[in-house]
Parts: sequence; structure tokens; C-alpha cells
Amino acid sequence: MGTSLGLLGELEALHDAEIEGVADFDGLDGALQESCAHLLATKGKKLRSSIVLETAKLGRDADRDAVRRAALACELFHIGTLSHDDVVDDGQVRRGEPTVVAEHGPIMAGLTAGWLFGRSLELVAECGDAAIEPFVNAACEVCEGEMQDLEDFFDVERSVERYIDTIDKKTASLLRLPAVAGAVLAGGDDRTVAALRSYGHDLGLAFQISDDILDLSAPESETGKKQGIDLQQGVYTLPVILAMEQRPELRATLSGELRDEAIAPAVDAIRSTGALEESTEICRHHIAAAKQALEGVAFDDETGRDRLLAIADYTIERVFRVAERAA
Amino acid sequence: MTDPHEMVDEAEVVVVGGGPAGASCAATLAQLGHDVLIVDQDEFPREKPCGDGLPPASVDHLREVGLGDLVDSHWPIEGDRMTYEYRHTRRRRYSDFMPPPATARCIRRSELDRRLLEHARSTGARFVRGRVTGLVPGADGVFDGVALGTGDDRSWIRARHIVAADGATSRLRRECGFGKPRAVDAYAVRGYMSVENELDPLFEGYTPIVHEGSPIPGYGWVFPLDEHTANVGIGYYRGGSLPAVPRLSALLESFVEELRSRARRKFGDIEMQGKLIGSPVAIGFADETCERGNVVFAGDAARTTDPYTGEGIGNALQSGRDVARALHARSRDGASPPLPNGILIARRFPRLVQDPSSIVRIGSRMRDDVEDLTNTGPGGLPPGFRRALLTTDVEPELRETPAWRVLDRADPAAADALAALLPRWMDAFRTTFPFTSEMLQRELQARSGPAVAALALLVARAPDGALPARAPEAALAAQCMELSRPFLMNVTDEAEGTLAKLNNAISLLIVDFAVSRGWRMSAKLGHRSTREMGATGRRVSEGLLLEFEDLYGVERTPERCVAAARATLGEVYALSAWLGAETARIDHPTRDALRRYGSDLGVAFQVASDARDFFAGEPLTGKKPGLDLLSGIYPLPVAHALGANRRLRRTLTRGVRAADLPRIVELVAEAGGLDRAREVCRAHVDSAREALEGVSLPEVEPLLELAELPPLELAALDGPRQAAYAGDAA
Repeated sequence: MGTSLGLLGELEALHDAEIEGVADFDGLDGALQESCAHLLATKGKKLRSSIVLETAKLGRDADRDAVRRAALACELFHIGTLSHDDVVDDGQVRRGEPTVVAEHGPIMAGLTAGWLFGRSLELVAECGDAAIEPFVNAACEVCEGEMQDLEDFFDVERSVERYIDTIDKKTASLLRLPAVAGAVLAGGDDRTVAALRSYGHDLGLAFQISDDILDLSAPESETGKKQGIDLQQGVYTLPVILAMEQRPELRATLSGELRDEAIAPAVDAIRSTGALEESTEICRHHIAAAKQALEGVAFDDETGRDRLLAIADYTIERVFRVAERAA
Repeated sequence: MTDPHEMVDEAEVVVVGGGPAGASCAATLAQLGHDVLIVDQDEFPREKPCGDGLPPASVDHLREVGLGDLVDSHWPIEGDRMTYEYRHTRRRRYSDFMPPPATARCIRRSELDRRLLEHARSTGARFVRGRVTGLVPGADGVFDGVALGTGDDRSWIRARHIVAADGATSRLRRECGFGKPRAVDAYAVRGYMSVENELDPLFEGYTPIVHEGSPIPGYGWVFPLDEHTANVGIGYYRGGSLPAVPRLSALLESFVEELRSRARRKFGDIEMQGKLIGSPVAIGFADETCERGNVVFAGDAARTTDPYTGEGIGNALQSGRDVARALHARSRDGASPPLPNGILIARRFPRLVQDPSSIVRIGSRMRDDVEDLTNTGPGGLPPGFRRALLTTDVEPELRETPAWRVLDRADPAAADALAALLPRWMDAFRTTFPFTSEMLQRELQARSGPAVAALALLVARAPDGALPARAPEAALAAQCMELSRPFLMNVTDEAEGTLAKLNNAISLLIVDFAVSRGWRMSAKLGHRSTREMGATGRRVSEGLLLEFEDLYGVERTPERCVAAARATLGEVYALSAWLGAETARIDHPTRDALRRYGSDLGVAFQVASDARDFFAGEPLTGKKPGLDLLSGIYPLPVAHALGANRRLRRTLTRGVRAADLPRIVELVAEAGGLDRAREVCRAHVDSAREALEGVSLPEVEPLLELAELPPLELAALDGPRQAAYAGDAA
């Protein structure tokens, strides 16, 4: 299991070497350059661009330059949405670092996102027609998912179906996109593209669910954000919804304003229902489905498959690691 | 003191109007220890034209202020139900989206208002009966108090702060010079009825209202007071090109007739009780602030009624409380921060703060897309529903705009296509974000109309007079880009707190929506257009940064203003020209010339509309001349004057108050600011025309005509500028 972590470090190095030249931040106004660089440099897994790079190993003849551009486009678009998210949720810290909003204010965060969105569309269009449609669809889905999220704030009746539908649009869309983009640029046939789409989809759902589990199970030192912050902001995620279904009286506790000192007891109450374990099971199911989707897909370069599988493993391993430590 | 008549009373805060907004404001202030006097012309109880419906949040409010007995003596309303064309229904329970017990109530306004006023008095607010006829001017744009009565009966009340809660037809609003904001008005009329069968505990809506066979935008309601009695009424929009309607009461009577015949099974016999009363609904829109000098507006006088549903009491209660808390904070901190322009969305719709999801809830049910322009069905909803709920019909206004007319003269078919497409596209916005309706309408009329879209179409047909198949997508893609800008400009760094955060969140969501829909359009045009769209988005962000960097910058030069205009609106017009050229496969040298033309045209439009707003204000919203100075936005005329006049530099550095604006506008005019704007505008128009010289396109004439629109926006500025401020000086 430890091997997947090593792979991820490798991915990140590869990623930086591959796409550095394409970023094109030169000539950008000082303030924008600073906040874009700030976002890109944040310690992250560069997951989306890595998926494009690895998926493109399906075919030997993929246009490397186009693949790099698509990879960067996915990453830039994603960090643009993070910058927006931080304005919407008033996020001050992300992965242990102050956000653009915290450092430069909402206007700058909005402009930075605008720039990143524009640049990402430009990059994707530079790869030809193939990746445009999946990209634009993902952008529309993300927007719809954001609206649904806002609609559901403090909705203690939020259902599992609604939650899945929202994260499907908001998170999974941005993991389907790189898998599909890579497959399309590598010349994959319809069946292959569908398989990769399915990989991205299940990985995306699992990714969000694992994030939502970690919000309730991992200490602040691990996630870089305050435990239970979603709960306080009225964002009810899978473990919370499952816990409320099992113990309806939790709804009264959670609805309305949750004071800082009330968070820990609320988190304990949720844990005591077994909702974290149940969520982990659902997460594991999606990881299995993601890996299964790759069966029967022929890669010209098999390291692509290995790394995509490793990414899937990593997603659930972080949940297990935290659980083990807690036990 | 300017008024010779007797001062009859004095208070720290005088609240004009004792309805829900006034009473809730007065009670909150009195509880916070302030000396408050409510003035109302009526003896309570009194009748009000209203649906009497109180949403769950308002019911909570009543309980909080100790009126639980009033709530409990009324029938719990569990949700609402909308019936479309007497066939389809859509029902929603409050407990489906709020924690139980979420119930609403229907309480007669005569009773509700009496109790709210009693409550305010019990907290220490005083009440006098009197007819407020105006404001008593004092020094520095601050008012000394309010005037009562007329002629020999005239007297006045001294106050440090004045809260104008005087309703939809607010006299103080007019006194403060807020104009009539828009062409389309809303009206409502109600009566009471008793019915034979037992009513459901739901707020019932019926849409559309049909009068003499044609649907009228709006809806009819049946709001039950108890099992067999209901408030029945209609709210509808009129004006613009909306269908003419007869007397309000006749319209309500015909609605009741419809209920008698088409919903007979549901209601049984219906008998009307008492008389019908009606009034305008306060859905107007003034985007600057809810205050003028020491007058703060609340409730309908601040136009807090939801323009989409016409629901007003809950917002009025909330806005009264908000205003009271703001005044209290100011008196405590001794500071008087202006309410920033930017937080208009959240401030004007306080309900959003209580229930942020309400802004998108309606949208997500009705979400329609412009993904496929050939799809005419609005997402499975009956057509009458859509027609009836759209608050404004923009097509006629669109056809009045100069840009549309230029297109129409060149190509009536293209103009008709735009008149059909653009409103549909705006509908996608309005059904998703209902409250953007009025902003969109304002945008439509700014800058000579949809000039961006017109430009793409004119370029696309320039080679042979025929419109390429994808030209409408090109026009809408560019127009999307243009429409996202004003919402992005709504983001603010200046304010703290929930309102500001919510404002920013919503503004960015709208921007995302506009941007992603624009991308969808450009994606249909292929990768070259999509790339251009992306590059423009990136460059416009860089351009907007130039604007933000110059906020409050007394070093700003006219050249900086032009550079910013080129990097923003210039880019959008250049994009539009390019996309049009791409759909028509125009060669690259010609395309470059068209880009240059677009870029110059964009600069000319930006310079013209900035100067117009600065010197003449914006008639549509009642925005006063020079108002942007308060937010640190210094347009080209000001930048010019800053170079010529040291005094202006000192004034701006010290900080501008609203009362200074007329003087500064005059100062900028004297320094030649308007003349400079005219010169710069003209120079860019000429440069745009020059760019087209020598291009071999048969249909270039309409483009030259389009280029002449920006100077026309400045042509009307020759009249006396003081007129807009005449009301203040009186």
C-alpha cells in the first residue's frame, strides 16, 4: 500500500517537469502572476493533470504537446474553481496555506479565477476540437453543482441522492474531464473513452466522499483545516446525512448556528452512529468500481494503468490511515 | 433653520410609517436604548392591500418579538402550491426544506400591523399621528427633520436620523430625488372570500391570469385565513409592451369568476366579502444605496419586495431590523461608513441573508438552458407558466435600442433573430437568478443596447449580406462575455460580514453561470473561436485589474482610463468582431482590421457611457451624477480634471461625501472633463472607421453606422446638468 505514495511524489515531479513550460505566466501583471503562482504552488497532488498525462499513455502516438496543454488546462480550471469556492465559503486556509481570498481579498480572488478560466479554455482549444466539449460540459456542471450546494446549505433534510447528484456535478465532473480528455487525445475508441470516463466518475465520487470523511475524522494538522468546518457552515455531507437518517434528533442539533465549542460533541455524535464506517464502505465501493473500469482497457504504456490504479488506491488509503491512527 | 413653523416634537430617530418595516425598526431601536418616534397618518388598525401571507421566517420573527399568541391564534400554513393553467400543480412543503416546525401564517394586515405597532410602543417607541409632507433641509445635505401638514397647519419634528418606511408610494423617496425607475410596474389587488368546501392549509397560486383570452404576467392567489375564509388577490405586471389591462378590481373579479367555474370542485360556492383594495407593488430598482444624507429607507420604500413573487412583509420586517441595527452600530462607533455600492444584491434582498438558498431554489426547478437554440420547450413546463412568470418582456425594449435599429436597417431577418434569441437567453438568467431581472434590463439598455451581439451579426453578414448558420451563437457568446462583467464588478473587498460574503458568493455564481454558458456557445463554433473566447476572458481579467488598481487613485490619467477601456470592453468588441468574422470565414488581414475596429469601438462606448453616467446619472435606475466617486471610481473626465485642477485632487484625497457630488461634477465640467471625453470618444470612433478603410467587404456600411452610436450617447448631455439635483436644493 505504501507504494502508491511513492508514486504520487513521482507524479508530482513529472507533472512539474512536463507542464512548467506551458503555464505562460510571463508577461502577466504582477499581482495576477503572484496569485496564480500562489495557487499553483500550494502543496497539492496535481491530481487532475496527472490523470491526463497517465491516461494519454493509452496510445503511443498521442500528441505530447496537446496532452501537456490539456493537463495544464484541467489543473488551472480546477484551481480557478478553488479560488471561487474560497470566496463562496469564505475559506481562509487551504492545505495549510492562506487562500487568495485571505491574502488578496475577494476581488483579486474573482479576477484570478477569471484569468485561470480564460487561460484554461484557451489551452484546451489549442489541442483542437476533441477536448472542448467535455471541458465545456464540465464547466457547466461545476457551476450547477455550486448552485445546488448553496441551495442545500443548512438543509437537514438533504438526501443521499441529492448529495451524490451534487458531488457528481461539482467534483466528479472535474475528474471525469481529465480521464476523458487524456483518452480522447490518445485516440481512444468510444469504448475506451467510456471506460476512462467511468474511472474518472467513480474516482471523483470516492475522492469527494473521502474528503468529507476526513473532514470529520482527521485532525486539523492532517487536512490543514478546522475539523467539522463543513458542519458549521451548514454543508451536510454523506457521513452527516447518514448519521441524521439513523438518528433524526441530530437534525435539531445541527440546524442553525453551531458554536465552536459545539462542533466536537456534534462530530462525536455523528461518529457514534457508525456513519463514518458506512461512508468509507461506499467510498471503497466506488474505488473498486473505478479500478474495475480499467480492466480490459489496453494501454500502450502500462505504467499509465499502474499509476491510475495507484491514484485510486491513494484516495482511500488516506481514509484508512487516519482510521488506523485513531484506533 | 429654514422652516418658520412650529417645531412640535423632537427625537433621536423619527420613523415615518408605522407598518411592518417601521414598527420593526422602531422596536429594535427602542430596545437598543434609542429615543424613537413613529409618525403615521393613519389611526390603527387600518386596512392594507396585501396578500396577508407571512412566510415561516416571518412567523419566527413574530414569535421572537413576543407575538406568539397572534401566531398561535391563526391557522398553520404548511407550504405552497402553484397551479398552472388549472391543470398542472406543483406543491412544496416548508418542512421539505426547513427544519420542522416550519409553518407560515396568513394574518390580516389590519390586525398584524396593529399588534406590531403596539409591540413597538411597548418597547418605548413613541407614536404620533400625523401626515409627513416632506423633509426639512439643514446644512451639508443633512436634514433637520420632517415636515408635517401643509399651509398654515405646517409644523415639523426635529430628528438626527430619519427612517423612511412610508411604503410603496413613498413620498420621502420622491423628496430625496429617487426617480421612477422603470417602464414596467407591478400592481396588486385583494379581497376576502368565504368558500363552501374546506381549504387546504397552503398558499395557493394560479398562473397565468387570463384576461379576455390572453395571459397576463403575474399570478392570482388564494391564501387561507382559516378553513373557509381566504384572502384572494392578484399581482401582475404592466407597462412596456405588456398587455393593457382594465381596472384592478375588474381583473380580480374575473379571476374569482375563473375560480368559480374552473376550480368549482375544489372550492364549491365562493362568496366575496367586503371591498376590494389595490395598490402598486414596490418592485422598483435603484442600485446605489438605501439612504440619502441622514435618511435611511426600509421596507417597500427601500424596494425590498421580492420582484419575483411580490412577497414583501417578511422582507419589510427584516429590513426594518437591519436598518435599526446599522443605525445603532453607527451611533455606537461614531463612524458613518457609506453602504458600499457593491453589496447591492444582498442589501436589497435581506431575505437572502436568512435563507440564501431561496435565490436559487426557484431556479433549480425551472432551469432551462440555451444549450440548444433550436429547443423551444422550456424544460417540460407548460408554456403559459413561463410566459406568465417572466416579470418583464424585454423584446419591445430591445427593439427600441439604437444598436438593434442599426442591425434592423441592415438586415431585418438578422435583427428579428436577435430579438427572438436574446430575450430567451436572458430568461435563462432570470429563471435561475430571478433577482437579476432588473439588472439585465438595465444592461440591455446601457450602451445603446446589445451592440456587442449586433456587431458579430453585422460582421458575419458583411461578405455577401447573408447570415452564416452559426452567427447567432457567435453573437451570444460575445454578449455572454459582456454580461458577466457587471456582476464581477459587484464583488467587493470593502465590507465585512454576512451581507458582503453572500453578495460576493452570489455575484461570482452569476459570473460562472454567464461564463460557462458563453463557453457552450463558443464551443459550437470550433476550437479557433473557443480559443479566442478563452484568450479574451483572460485579457479582460487583466484589464479589470487595471480598473481595480486605479480605485481611489488621484494619479489616474485619461491615458490609463483608455488603456483600461481597451483591455476590457475593447477586448469584448474585438472578440465579437472576430467571432463574426470566423463564422463567415473572412480572411485574416481583413479580420485583423475588424479586430482593430472592434477594439476602438469598445473604447469609444466605454468612454461615452462612463461620461454619460458621471454627468447625467442613469435615468433608468435614478442613479445620481458622480455617484461612482463614492466608490473610488474615477472615470476619464475626472482623470482629466485631476491633471488640471489641484483643488479637485485635494478634495478627492480627503474623501468625498454625497453632499459634495454636485459641486465636484460641476468642477469637473469646468475643467473641461466632458469636452475631453467627447474628444477621446470621437478620436476612437474615427480610428475605428479608419480601420475599415480599404477592407474589401461589400456590406461595411452598417459597421460605420454602428460606430457612430457612442458619440450619440454624449449628445444629450448639453442640457442643464443641475436638473438632476434640483430636488435636493429645494
